[in-house]
Formats: sequence, C-alpha cells, structure tokens
Amino acid sequence: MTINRSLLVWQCRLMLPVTLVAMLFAVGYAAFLPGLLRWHTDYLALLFITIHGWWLVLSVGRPTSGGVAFLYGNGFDRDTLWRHTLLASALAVGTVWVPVAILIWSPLRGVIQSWLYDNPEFSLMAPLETSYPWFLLLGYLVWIPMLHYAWIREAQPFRGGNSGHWLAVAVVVASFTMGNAAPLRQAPPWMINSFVGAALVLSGMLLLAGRRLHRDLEVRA
Amino acid sequence: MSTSLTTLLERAAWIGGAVTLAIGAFAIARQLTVRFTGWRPAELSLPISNNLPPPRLPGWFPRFCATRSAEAREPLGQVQVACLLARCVESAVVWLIGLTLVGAGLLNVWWYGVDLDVVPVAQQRHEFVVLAFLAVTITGLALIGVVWRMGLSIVAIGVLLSAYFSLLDQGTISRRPANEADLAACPIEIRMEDGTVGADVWVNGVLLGQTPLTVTLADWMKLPKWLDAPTTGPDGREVLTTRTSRGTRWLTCVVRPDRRWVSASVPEGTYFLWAEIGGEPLVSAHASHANVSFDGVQWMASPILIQGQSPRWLTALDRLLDQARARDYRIESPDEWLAAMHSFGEGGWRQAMRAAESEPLLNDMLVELLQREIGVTAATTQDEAWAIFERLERQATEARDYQSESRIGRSLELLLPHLDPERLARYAAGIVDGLRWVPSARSWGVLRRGEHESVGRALLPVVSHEHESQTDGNARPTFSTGDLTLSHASVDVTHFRRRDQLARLSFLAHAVWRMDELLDRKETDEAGDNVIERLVVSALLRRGAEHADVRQLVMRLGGSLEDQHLQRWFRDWRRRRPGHEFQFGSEFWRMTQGDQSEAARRWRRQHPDEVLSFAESIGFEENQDFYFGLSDADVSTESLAVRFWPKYREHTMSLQGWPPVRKLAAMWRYLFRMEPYSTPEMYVSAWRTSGIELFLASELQLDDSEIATRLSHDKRKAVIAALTAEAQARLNFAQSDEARRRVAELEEQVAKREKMLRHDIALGPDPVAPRNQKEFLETLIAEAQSELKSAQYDISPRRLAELEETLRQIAALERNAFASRTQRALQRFEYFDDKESAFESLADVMTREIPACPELLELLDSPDPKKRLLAARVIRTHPAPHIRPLLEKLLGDADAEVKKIASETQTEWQRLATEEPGKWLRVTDHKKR
Repeated sequence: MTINRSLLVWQCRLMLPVTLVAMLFAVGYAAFLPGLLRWHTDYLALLFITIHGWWLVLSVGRPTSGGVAFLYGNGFDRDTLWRHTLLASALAVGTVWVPVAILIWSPLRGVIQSWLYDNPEFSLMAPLETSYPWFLLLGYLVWIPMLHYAWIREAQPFRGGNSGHWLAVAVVVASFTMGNAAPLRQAPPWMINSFVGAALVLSGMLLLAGRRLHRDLEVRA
Repeated sequence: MSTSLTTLLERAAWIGGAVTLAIGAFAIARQLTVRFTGWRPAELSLPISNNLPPPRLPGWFPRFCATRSAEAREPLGQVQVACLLARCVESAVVWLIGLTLVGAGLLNVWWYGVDLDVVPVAQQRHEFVVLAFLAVTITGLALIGVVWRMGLSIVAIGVLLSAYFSLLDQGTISRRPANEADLAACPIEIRMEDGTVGADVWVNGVLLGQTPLTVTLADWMKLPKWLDAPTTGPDGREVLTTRTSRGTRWLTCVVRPDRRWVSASVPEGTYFLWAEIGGEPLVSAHASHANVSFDGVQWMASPILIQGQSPRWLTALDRLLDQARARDYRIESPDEWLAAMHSFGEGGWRQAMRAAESEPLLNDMLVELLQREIGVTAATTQDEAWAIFERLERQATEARDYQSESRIGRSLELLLPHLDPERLARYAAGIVDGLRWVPSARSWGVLRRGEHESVGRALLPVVSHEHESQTDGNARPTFSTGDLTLSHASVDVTHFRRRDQLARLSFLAHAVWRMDELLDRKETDEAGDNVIERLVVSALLRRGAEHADVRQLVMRLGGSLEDQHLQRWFRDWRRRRPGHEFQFGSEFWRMTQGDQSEAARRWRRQHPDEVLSFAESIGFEENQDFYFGLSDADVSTESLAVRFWPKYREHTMSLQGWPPVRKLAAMWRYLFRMEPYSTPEMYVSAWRTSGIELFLASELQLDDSEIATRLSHDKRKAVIAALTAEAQARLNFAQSDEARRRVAELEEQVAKREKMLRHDIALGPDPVAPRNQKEFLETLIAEAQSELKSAQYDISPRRLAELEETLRQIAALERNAFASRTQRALQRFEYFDDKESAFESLADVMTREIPACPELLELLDSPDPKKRLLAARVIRTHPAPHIRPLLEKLLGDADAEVKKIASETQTEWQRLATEEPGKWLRVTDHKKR
C-alpha cells in the first residue's frame, strides 16, 4: 500500500480549519475543565465528538462537495481514494486526540488544576481519568466510519440513500441514551468490555462495507 | 400497573417476540429458497401471479411476494450485491445498537431493581423476560430489515426501545407495584439471635409458640393492644418495668411499616414481648424491631431478633469466670478452658470480654486463650498469619454479622502484628477497587457507650452521637471494652440480605484501621505515610471520595493524601457551595463536629471563625443535641467547644416550646460533654441564664451515667458547691437588709416620680419641654418597676421558701445524679423493693473497682454488723485477687453471721480454684441449632 503524499496533503488541507478549531477547543477543555473527566458522565465530550466528526467527514468524505468530487475525476482508483480518506481522517482525529491524551496521561492537567484551581481532586484522582482518552478514541472509531458510510451510502445507485444518515442519527441517540439510562460507572468489567467489543465490531463492519460500497459510488458533483 | 397486567405483559412479550422472529426467519428463508431452488409461492397454486385477489392475505402481501420473486430470479449484478451488502450491514448495525441498548437496560435494571446477588428469582425472571423479548424482537426486526424495509425496521426498533426506557424510567418494569392485598400474608419471623430453638414467646400476653416461629402480619395485627408493659409476667409474677443489668422485663418491639409502600391502614405499633427458655424468663434481654417493607417483588419484614440469656446460662458463665478469678487467672489446661468458653457460644465470649473491661487480668487470660485458638505465637510467620486472616474473614462473612468486640474481632487484633501490612493493604485496596456499591449510611446503627466511640457505618467507624442510637429502632447494645467497636447494629430490609457482604467489609475496615494504627507507631515513608495510607486511602478516595462513609474511613486512616485532599476539599467547599448546599453542607457539618483526623483537627484549629460561622449559618434543630467541636476539647480552653459555649447557651435559650428546665438540662449536658474544660461557673451561669428560680432535681432528667463518666469526683463536688453558693447567695441577699433597703428605695422612687407626673410641678413653661420631661419620668418609673419585679428583689416569703427548697434540691442532686456509681447503687439497694436485682448491681459496682472500692471498705469497717454482713455478701460474689484480702478481715469478724458467711466464702473459693472449668451443658430446652 503506497501513500500518495499529494493526495493526502490535499485531503488534509480540506480538514485544516475544523482540525485547528477542534484542537484548540479540546486542549482547552481538557486542561482547564475543573472536576474529573469521567467518560460515563461527560456528555459534552460526546457532543464534541459528534460535531467534530460530522464537520470532519463533511469536509473530506462527502462525494458531492467540490473539493472531494474533484478527486474522483483525477485518475485515482476508488480503493486508493478510500484509503487516503480514512488516513486523512485518522490524522485529523489524531491531531486533536493526541494532545488531549498527553495532557491527561501526563501530570500536566493535574498541575494546571492544582495550580490554577486548587482542585481537591488533583492529583489524587488523576488515575481515574486514564480511561478517558480511550473513550474519546472509541467514540471516533465508531463515529467517523459511520459518517463516511452514510455519505457513501447516499451516493449509491440504488434506493434508500438516506438510511446511512438515519443510522448515524440512531448511533448518536443510542450513545446519549446509554449515558443517560445506565449508571455505567457501576457496570461490571465484563459488561463494559462487551460494549467496547460491540462498538469495535460496529466500526469494523462499517469500514468494510464502506470500502466495498465506495467502489460503486456515483459522484454527482 | 397491576400484577396480573404485568403477567399479561410478560406473556405478550414472549408471544410478540416469537412472532416477530418467526416473520423475520420466514422472510429470510423464503428469499433463500427462491434464490437457490427457484421454488416460488406461485408454484404452490397460490393466487399470487394471476392478479386474482388472495383469499385471506392482505393486498400488499402478494404484491410483495411477486415483486421479490421476480427480482430474485434475475442473476445478481455488482450493484445488487452492493445493495444486498448495504442492507445486511445496516440491519446488523441496527441489531447491534438495539442489543447494546438492551444491554444498557439490563445494567439499569440490574442496578436499580435487580441485583443478581440478592434479588429473588421471580424478580430476575420478570426482568429478563422483558429483556429477552426485546432482544428477540430486535433480531426479528433486523432480519425483516434485510429482506424488506430497512426504514420500518429502524422505526420499529426505535419505538420499542423508547417505550422500554420510558417504562423503565417510570419504574414499571424494574419494580412491581406493592399490592396491599398481599400485605396480610407478610411473614414476621421471631427467633433468638444466637439460634436457640425452643424459647417460648409471648407477645402482648398471647403465647405465639417456640422459636423460631413465623407469624403473618394479619395474625400479628389481631393481637390485643397494650398501651404499656404490665408489671407482671405471663405467669403472674412481678417483673421489672425498667431495665437493669440482669432484670427480667417485657421487651419492647415496634412493628414499623415503611410508609413508602404501606398505607396508614397498617399503623405503626409498639408490642411487648416476653421470652422464656425452659420455663425461665430471659434476663438482660433485648428485641429488635420489625420493619415492614416491599422489595419490589414481595412484602417482607426484618426478623425480630431476641437477644438475651437464661438465668441458668448466666449463672454458669459467672461460675466459670469466678473459677478463673479464684485461680488468679492462671490457665493450667488451655484446651479445657477453650472448650468451656466455646460451650457458652459467641454470647459467652462477649459477656466475658465485657467483664474484662474492668479486670485487666481476665482480659490477659482471654487474650491467651484466643491466641491459642487461632494459633498465633511469637514464631508465627507472615504466610501463616495470612492463612489465619483468611480463615477469620471467612468466619466473619459466614456469621453475617461483625462486631470488633467479638471473638473474631479480638482474634483479628491479636493477629495484626504478625500480618504483612503491604499484603493486607494490597488486598484491601483490591476489594475497595472492586466494590460495586457502597453501603448506605442510613441503614447502619450508630452507638456510643460512655467515652468510647462505637459502631461504624458500613465501611467506617465514625465518631457518633448517642441520640442517633435512639433513632434507630434496631440498635442493640454493643459491648465495648474501651477500644473502638466496629459493628453494625442492624440493617433495613434491603440490606438485611447483604449482611454477609457488610460483615466482610466491616471486618476488612477493622483490620485496615487497626493496622494503620499499628503502623503509625513505627514505619512511615518520607511523607510520613505508611503502606495503608498509601494504598488503601488512595483506593478509597478513588472509589468514592464523594461518599460520606468512604470519606469517614479515609479520615480515620489519615495520611498525607487524605490531608492534602481534605485541606483542598475544605478550601473548595465555599467555591462549590452554590448548588451543593445540602451535600457539602452536611459533609462539612459532620467534619466540623466529629471528625478526629489530624487534618480536620488542624483545619478546625486554623479556621475557627469559618467553622463557627458555618455552624451558625446552618443552625440546628430543636431536638438535636449540639456537640459542636467537642471532639477538640484536647486543645483546652481555646477549643471550638469552649468558644461556642456562649452561642450555644444563647441559642438554647431562644428555642421556642422548650420548658426552661429542659433548656437548663440541655446546657448542662453540653457542659458535661465539654469536661474537663467546663468550669463550675459555667454550670452556674447556665442556671442563671435559664431564669429558673426553683428547680426540681428529678425534673432535670440528667443522664447520671454520663455525669459519672465525664465528671471527676472533685468536679462534681465543685459544681454542687458552686450551685449551692449561688442559691445561698440569692437566699442571703433576699433575707438581707440591703435587699429590703433597695426595695424600699425603688418603691420610693416610683412613688415620687408618679407623684411628679400627676402634678404640674414637672411641667415647665416651655411648650415643648413638658412633653420630653413626661416621657423621661415615665421611662424612669418603668425601669424602677421592672427592677422591682425582677427575681432578685422578690423578697416575699413565698420566694424565700422557694430558695430554701432549691438548696434542698441541689443537695438532692448531689445525692442522686451527681453521686458516684457506688453511692447510687447503695441508694438503690436501700430503697428498691427488688433487693435481689439491686444487690446484683451493687455487688457489681463495688467489686470491680481496683484496688478496692472506698464505700466497700467503709462497709467493712462499719460498727454496724448489718453493714459488715452486706460487705460479706458483696465480697462473696467476686473471688478476684484484689478482693481476697478483704475476706481475711471478715474471717475474724466479731459477728457470728458475718464470720459464717466469710468462712463459707473461703470454702467456696477454694473449691472454685481447684475444680475443672465448668461447661454449659446443653439440655433439651436449650438445644441450639
């Protein structure tokens, strides 16, 4: 698998504005939010992933948008385009996620909280936040393939083009329902692992199906 | 939703799920059949392809079948493969999302309604039927989505899940409604706490049967209603109406319906219970209350546990302890002694430990026995110690009830010095990390005996308050030996089924706590922390720093982590207070008044103004004893307790609806708690502030045991002297010439100024001045009249008589509430009709004082032979080494009867010293489970 740098750069450029805005917001949030970052209570993070992912895929994964449609007329085969789109999305997500993870996993956030807010929960409680970046990553792992799939599904030459978007809505509703209805903090590890497993299976299915459907995608610029 | 409707829903769920799955399976099977065999419904001569209307099927069905059949005959192209793939993937996604949400629902139900550890099978079945229906239906709908309408599939799954979560939120799925029609059949179990079978039980005079027995609530409600316990037992013999150390009485038992579930049709009622073993009424008995509640499936009542012993059992145990005393607590054959102790059961160990509170040598003997039993010696390795620890933990868990002041608790403390602290810390931290729930504090009894901290909440030994023990009907006595006692008194219905888990947690909390204390005396790291503070405290804080019970245990353990957390937490409190008043206010409140951790103490010392302002800001209720800051009395006169005293006095006086005598008693109780930093002047100032001229000692309702425990002999004398001096000064003043002169002076002033007012002398020519002068005179008259009306200048004969009576009442106070335990026991012996019971108390008090009770020596030296006889009888009850020399004196007594008793006592003691340790022989009537 070769990487076409020009193609990747082109796609990354499409996502540059959203990546910069999202990175600033995420880093600020992770550094300065007082109180513990707990994955089972942080609805704001869920909302952030939803909006960030949507904006990201809208920039690079919507076949009808000018910048993306242009690529389909330049001789790249469909699988190459699919690979590079996913790689660019991963890089963009990584640009946001890595600084946040470093902040949380290093003593940096504890120092900021301690120094700025005199927060009683730091640094004692810092270990409780270690799973938080993984939760963010899992959210992206489900959400980005889902949105790519939705746009690819819309451009298929058969009926039901909206079903991908409806599925995306279902995923969002399900995520918030999970957070709201279940006191996940008390869940036994096997149940958490089952949820994570289900999410990974979901992500894998969407990636594989997206790749296959991408070959039959009709570009209507 | 009624129960029958719920059952109907269950059946509908099964049928609906099965039908949906069948339709989905049929649709898939049909597609596959057509694809691979070419076999179509048309070939079955069904009127599908000839445009004739189907006989029974709706119109859409043949069209659907025909279209799909036609499509299916064509070979699949690339796009069709993609289409099929999209359908499959989307169905799979919908299916996965649906099942994940059902899984989340399972968790929700699990947490709120179905704890798999404790909830009965019926409840689990009910919950899982609903969830299984959902899973099956979602699977069926997903299959339908593959072959037919994906949109319909998504919408149907969405509607189903919304309905499910909506019902779940309303509690209709996770809990069944309580049906009062079934309440009558709610069983109330009565049994002996130690499992004794065959004790006869009467309730409100009706013989219900022998333990263990079960009565339905309906039958219980038919029992006669008694307003108070009678003065005679079921056999007509007189009984006590008050509790004494070994008295027999009717036991009080409250049947308390949980008002969340039970309507007023079932009233709360107090019942009186009588229990006998082998025809002998129980002594020192106690019964727990029955809380009637609903657990989501069925009605249930916490069992009525009777704690008490038969007189024969107590006599036998006394004899065993006397054998130990007569041998100077030397054990020649430990195995025999262990067998003898075990024959009395756990109750025997508890009773012996209680006796050991005032007998250090008996305590040493029990320690030796326990060490032998658990196999701890100086050579015990850490691995061996750990095996013993695990064995004790198992025993505590199986007993489903843990008290630190029990055989297991004591054994644990003996084992701790041999345990590897790090291993214990890692083990406890692992348990804490794995805790799925933290027991609720409200279900735990909180007790306090004398000076000693007592019962903890689930995870925690807390500094508690006596009034709390009164609010918990299930609280039962805890035998404290001067050490902190960690146990749970009793639990509510829900937690009753978790007793084994609670017992294990209490055991661990006890182990961790004591180990922390041991380590605090030796090993610490650079930060001054020991391994418990490093590992367990951090685990506890991570697990639930916001949880009151966890926080309390953390504070007890201490360490730099806790210190740092607490310091910041206090600082943070004000910042977070908006919106968190209740949570943080109550937490803060507990810390300000009770927490004994060094961090909390230091914080209180450093920020007294904040603590005081907080205390004022939240106020306190009328019925709440306000022992604010009393735990910091060790910082002497600068303590918060002392600083808060004027405000407490002021606040108590402002309480509406309290009679003055109650206010005075409350203020004095505060001062008792503040000892030794309360001054006699404070007691007098409380009396002065209360405005009571005449108080009756009996109306004050002071806790004499508290006075005896907290006030030293000299302080009691000093307080009485100060009160007497105050009363005497009032009387002297009232009788003095100065008082009469002053009264006359005031009366003269009033008369003179009234006269000035009535005449124009006071009114000058100035048109404005006269009015001012008139007002001024009126003010002066009012002041003089007010002064005249004050108690100080009431020199009427009635007041003089009152003051004389007050002096007599203070003297009575000295004889009663402020008297020493022995003096009170002597008075009781003198005045009580029940001489036997009073004598037991007297002998108990007199013989436990080491080296020897002064009052007992007084009796011995008395010229009155009756008093010497009483001394001889007292001495006979206690063959302890410090009492034995007193017997020598009596052997040479001039009185023949005294001499005879002394001689008999000597013989008896010699026999006790040589005979084998006496076991409790189980007879049929006393058969244990």
